[in-house]
Amino acid sequence: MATVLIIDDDVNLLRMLQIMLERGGYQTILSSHGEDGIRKAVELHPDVAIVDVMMPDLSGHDVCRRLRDDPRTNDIPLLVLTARAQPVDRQAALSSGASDYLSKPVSPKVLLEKVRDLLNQPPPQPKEGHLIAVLSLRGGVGATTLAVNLAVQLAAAKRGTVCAADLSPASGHVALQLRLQPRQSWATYRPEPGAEPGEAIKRLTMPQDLGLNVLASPLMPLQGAGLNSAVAQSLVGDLRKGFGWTVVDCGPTLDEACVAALNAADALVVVMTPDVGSVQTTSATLRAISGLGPADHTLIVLNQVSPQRALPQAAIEKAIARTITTVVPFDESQSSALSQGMPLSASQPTSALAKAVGDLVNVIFDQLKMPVRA
Amino acid sequence: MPEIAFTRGMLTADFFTHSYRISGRIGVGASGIYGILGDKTSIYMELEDAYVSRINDPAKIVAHYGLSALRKERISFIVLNRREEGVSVVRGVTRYTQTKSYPVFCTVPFFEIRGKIEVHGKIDTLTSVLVQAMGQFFPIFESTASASLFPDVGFTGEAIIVNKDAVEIFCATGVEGDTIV
Repeated sequence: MATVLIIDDDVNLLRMLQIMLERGGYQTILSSHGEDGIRKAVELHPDVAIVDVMMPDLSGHDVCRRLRDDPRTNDIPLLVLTARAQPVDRQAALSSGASDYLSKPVSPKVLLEKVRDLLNQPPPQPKEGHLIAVLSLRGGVGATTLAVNLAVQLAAAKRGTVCAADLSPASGHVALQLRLQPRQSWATYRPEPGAEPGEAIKRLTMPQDLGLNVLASPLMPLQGAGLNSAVAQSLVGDLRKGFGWTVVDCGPTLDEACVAALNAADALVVVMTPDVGSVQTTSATLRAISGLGPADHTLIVLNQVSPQRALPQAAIEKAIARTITTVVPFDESQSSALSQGMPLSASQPTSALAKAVGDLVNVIFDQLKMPVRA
Repeated sequence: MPEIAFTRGMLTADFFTHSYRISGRIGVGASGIYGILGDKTSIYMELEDAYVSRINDPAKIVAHYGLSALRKERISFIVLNRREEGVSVVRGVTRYTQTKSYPVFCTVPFFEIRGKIEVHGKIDTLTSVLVQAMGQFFPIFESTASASLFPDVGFTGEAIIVNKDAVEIFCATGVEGDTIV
């Protein structure tokens, strides 16, 4: 029996819709406000959700957007039912991700027909996933460590499938940090027109015990120019289509693969250390990538990779003319995490590094207008 | 299974002032919305669950209040989804007399409204429609209101009730001389 979630702040209407639908042979889940409705959609994954637009806490449009943005609920057909029945309202509903629209009052016959139509529709094509690019053009600042820990925490957040993609052209260390021995990498990637979205890249990734998929860097350093622009864009596009979340370790060069990732990124994390050399490189990097990637979503992470005294944060912020988003304190357990192939976010979730990465994940969720974690 | 009306004695409508669209519910009695609009004892009408949008982005809800008061004279027009909600009781009584409909074009501040008026018999002058018709508001049926500055923004209803005081231009076709008031 198909289940229908009804989200409407009018309790009388909820009951009436419940009667209509249950007489029509459906099971119902009732919710009288938006946040609760989203929670129930995530937990119970109904076959269809009926959403009222005019609700006091969260509008129906916001509910639709949230359900569409969440990989756990983005395949649920959404029927917007509202007293606002104008063409602009229909357009707004469809723009927010609704599958269809009905205006109140509605007869049971029309409602049941619409629900049946939605159940018979093929599931909506999944929206492209989110891509987070982690960049440092200077080695040794912990960009790979940060990318791996970000991916681990995103996987733990269970907001969709996660891929950690190592786009370094010369033996990157993402697989090493996860104790994997990859047998293939993106070096053999070729676009496959007509294939299922993301399939070409999924075949090159390998699963990892922490719930991640890993796309390894070339097993031997690439000679020459690496991927051309079209292939790089296709690769990044396939990553977005294939996974709910992709964390890209961009590697130390602004090659075509890195540029494609920056251009497609929903959030760009620039990693630096508190020393003069890193400040200079970061400043130059920010100038070089201005115009690439999400200008408003560039986050600066200051990674204390050593216990030694370093430049003060204020001086660094002044030098790079940017505010530092997150400071990752020095964590001596990081060296054992590297040798054991087990990221601190998994082995020691209360460590300073894991907490800082957790904060960063919440900043990213917030930027993407997704609920942050507790 | 019979059609279930969602509201009993409550009418849901879109109310338009110069700059805002207010969607809300209003309790109506036997005299329908005209009874509320024509009630001289109050210059306000109370809406339940009012959702406010600006005209330039009319689908976006910028405010919501459980209860709100709307100054009747500041309402330019009201869009009703169902024709019967826009027919006054007086018209209902006389509906078996011969009725003619005339396509009309009407402007109120920031909006133009197209639709049909229905009158009994022939009308000689449009002023007679505006002046002689009872009440402060009159219905235009099968109507669409478009924002003058945002012509893509349109609101349709089986009836739009227009405030006579807000009318700037009122035109009709099929009337002697195609009068413009």
